[in-house]
Amino acid sequence: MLLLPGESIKHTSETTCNKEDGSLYFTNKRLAWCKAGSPTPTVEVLHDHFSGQQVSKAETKKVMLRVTAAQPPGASGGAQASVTHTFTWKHADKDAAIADREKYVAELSVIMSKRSQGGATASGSSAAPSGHATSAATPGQSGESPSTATAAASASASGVPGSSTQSASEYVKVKIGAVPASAEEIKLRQDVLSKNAELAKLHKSLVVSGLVPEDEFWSTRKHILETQAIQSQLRKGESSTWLDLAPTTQESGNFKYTITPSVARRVFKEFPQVKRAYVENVPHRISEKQFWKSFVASQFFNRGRSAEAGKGGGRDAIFDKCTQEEDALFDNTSRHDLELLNNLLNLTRTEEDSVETGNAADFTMRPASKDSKLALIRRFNRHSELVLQSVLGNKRKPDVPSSVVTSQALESATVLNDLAVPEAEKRVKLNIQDKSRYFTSMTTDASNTRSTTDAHESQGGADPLVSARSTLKVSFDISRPLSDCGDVQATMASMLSSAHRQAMQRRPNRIQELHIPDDLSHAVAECHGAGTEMLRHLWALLRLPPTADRQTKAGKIVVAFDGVLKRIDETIAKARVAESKNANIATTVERMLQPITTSLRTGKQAYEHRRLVPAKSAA
Amino acid sequence: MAKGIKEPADDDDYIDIDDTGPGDLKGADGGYAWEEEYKRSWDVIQEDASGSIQSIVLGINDQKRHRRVRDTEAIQRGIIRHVVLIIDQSENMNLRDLMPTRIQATLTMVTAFIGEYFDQNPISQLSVIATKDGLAEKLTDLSGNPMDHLGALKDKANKDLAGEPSLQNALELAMHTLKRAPTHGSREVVCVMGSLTTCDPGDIAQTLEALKASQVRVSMVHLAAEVHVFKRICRETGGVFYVAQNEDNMKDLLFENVPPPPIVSARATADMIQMGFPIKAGGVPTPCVCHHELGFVGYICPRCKSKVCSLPTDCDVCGLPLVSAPHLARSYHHLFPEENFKEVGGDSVDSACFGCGAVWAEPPNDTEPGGGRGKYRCPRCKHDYCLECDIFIHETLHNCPGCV
Repeated sequence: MLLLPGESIKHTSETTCNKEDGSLYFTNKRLAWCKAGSPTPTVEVLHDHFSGQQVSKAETKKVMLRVTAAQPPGASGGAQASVTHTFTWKHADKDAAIADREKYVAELSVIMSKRSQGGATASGSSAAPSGHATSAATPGQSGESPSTATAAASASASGVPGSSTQSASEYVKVKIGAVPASAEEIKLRQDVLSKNAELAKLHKSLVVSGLVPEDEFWSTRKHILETQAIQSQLRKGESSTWLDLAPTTQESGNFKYTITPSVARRVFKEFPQVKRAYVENVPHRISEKQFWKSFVASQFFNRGRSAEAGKGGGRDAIFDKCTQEEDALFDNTSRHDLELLNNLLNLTRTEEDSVETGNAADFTMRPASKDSKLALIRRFNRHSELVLQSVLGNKRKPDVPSSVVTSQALESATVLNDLAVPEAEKRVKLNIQDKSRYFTSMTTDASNTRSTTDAHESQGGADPLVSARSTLKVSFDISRPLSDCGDVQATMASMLSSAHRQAMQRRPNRIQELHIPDDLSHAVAECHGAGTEMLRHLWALLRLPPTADRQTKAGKIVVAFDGVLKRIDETIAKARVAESKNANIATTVERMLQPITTSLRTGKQAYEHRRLVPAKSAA
Repeated sequence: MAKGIKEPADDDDYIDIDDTGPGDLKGADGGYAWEEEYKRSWDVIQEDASGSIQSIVLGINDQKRHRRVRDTEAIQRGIIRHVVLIIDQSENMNLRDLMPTRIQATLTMVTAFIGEYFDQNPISQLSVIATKDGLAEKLTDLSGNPMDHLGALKDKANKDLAGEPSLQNALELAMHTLKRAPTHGSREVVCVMGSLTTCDPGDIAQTLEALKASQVRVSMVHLAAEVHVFKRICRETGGVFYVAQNEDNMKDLLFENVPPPPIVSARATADMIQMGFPIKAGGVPTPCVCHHELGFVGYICPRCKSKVCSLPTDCDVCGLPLVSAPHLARSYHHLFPEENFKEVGGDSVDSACFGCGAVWAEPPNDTEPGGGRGKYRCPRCKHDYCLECDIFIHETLHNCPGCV
């Protein structure tokens, strides 16, 4: 390939692009691809134009890399359309292809992180798609190899890696609250807004209309962003369920086995012999489909499933070899270093006891009485081993044969928690100084409130209800004539009037009855929204211990209050001249804005008070 | 699976079908509960000597309404609770051993649980997390409004089941949610799991250490069987682990988490907690600060004077917890539990139940022991109550009408 002056090639690979063979070059200035045999690159992406990358998932057979780039300036149209290029690796060995591709991915990630560190502004739309693409790349990478995912994720997930992970958390923190916001944070904000309709509405009315700057809006809502960050960083572990390859019966009576790449991977993990057989035989000797067909039909697969299925099936060269391998593996008892085995589980220990006694041979301590179950037992053990290994790793401490350790081991094996007497948990006693006060205050309050409501509601004073209550207290006997129960009429009348009043209050269209014109209600909502937002900031600052920095910030907010108050006055003035069916529109609007005015004033007072107190304590 | 005509056992007058007693997993058919396809509940009804079935029917109803003997010692309990509810949405929840499917039964129970939880703990907060396909998703954030949670549970989009659950991811997300909770409140996690496996990205022992360090109490109700890892987590964090046998049992076990748990650790308990008691305001429609919607009725926060639309809640502007006196009173019932009533037979002071006035029913035959139709006497005021009133007093009213 012809190089530009000062350019040097870092990586090169054979790839296909648009179904044509060629080579991909990564240099210190650009990413370029040339068709086979041609010196000039057909596709080139300069580092500055590069905006995103994506990788194909690990399960697919092809190893692909897709690069997104902004249209170079000077191209036709001039619009910021982006161009994508897809490169496919055609190596026979998938792992080598993946390793190759990783080199490019790593380089491109470095470029992107450098760029996002260099001050991507909040309004930059080009930063957003790049943030989107890298986090799309991350799931692709972490899907491949969970063990290396941590390293890859920390390299590309956070452009500015935040503080190191907490003591037990495995998640890398995206630094939230950095100004100007990093690309990942912008992506987080977009995610949060798309999921939460209410917040999106609020955001639109406050930020998009320019009332509140974007960073300030998010500074009081950091926890929402953090939750979204953690949620998007959750990784999926490896499946630990028992692989049960069950066939589905089709209409023609045939059985159909579905083998996806993930199923194939799990089969390889469960049966390492099958993996070796696969690697040896496919694709040179038999095709993949044939391989799976014979696998499913083989005795090797079926002997663990049921006794009848195990007997059927003809001989199959490949899988019989697998069976023999497995048997050889388990017959070879010397493969374990017996020193490392837990003495409680070591079956060979009992062989010491099985000396020749002249009686029948000892048939205990043999795995499986029937051979058909042996395969299932082995498979189960192997599965459990895999599950534990995936979590604990291959830690194996040689047992220090000290007496304390062995006695501890014996105790943990013989003492079962379920059989122990459940001990009552320690509880802290309730410490109330004067318990009687709780009950007395309850009853006196109850009778007080009841008497006040009586006076309020029934015009005839407290008498009808009191007499009604006293009759109830003695005994509830409806056989007595109603006239003896007190003044029912007055009680009913007061009950009806209060019910009527409550129903009148709850009618749904009362707000419409006030006939507030749209622009006024909109203005009211705006004032309210802006004022509330500023108050939130102010109170958040006031609740923290005062520092000089916070004081100045609070001071700025209080100054901004005046702006809002002015707006409120404008709205009220507008209301006065507005036309509406409601004659008292001005007073209505003023009263609607009353709470926000009061709270603004209260906030201001609190700030003033706060400012004076440290001065007093200092002096 | 034997499905012939069932013969009644010799020593029972009626056969347990709906409630299989403890230690008795086999149903009346001789098979296990999960083997039965349908329950022949009509076989339980039998006529007694006089040809009437009334006593049998009453007996069946009584079996359902069993009263629980509670612990009535006055101990410290965490009243301000922050609970995260984790629901398993994996493929295992499609099984039909709980009718109609496990996930439907779970959602019904959880809906009832949420209602009861906020009824008994009005100043507490709840959050819901669902786990499926190896990942966890937060459905609702910590809030004191039950409608949010009920709406999220009803939402169709949250009902798809897929993959395996991931307990570690769910617990990590729950811990992050609970970190925001103030230290004077208790932090709890309640899980409902149906799967025997969990698909975790790392070592769950580390998550367990983190849970213990943050003093989070994890409890679980499992629908299938006891799993060592789950039980260990619950035991070491101080919670409880149960396995549900059937729908009724599951409801009881889930509702064990409704009363506040006792405070076990001697961590620094806050002596003073700042709370606001707002005044009601109304008259002209004014926008509220939590939803920015116009409303007539509202409450004015005493600190920042902004209007919120409903209680109990945290003020959106200044963060002060706002409650009203009845909410606190409802929470206090757990600190002063009503004493258990003693069951008595024979004569009593009252000719009828003191609570509802129902005349005492004659026991079917005198040889029958106490058996659910007896009288229950309050130890302080010495009035007698029937079974229904006893349950009502202890579970809903929390005060004895005779003593008050």
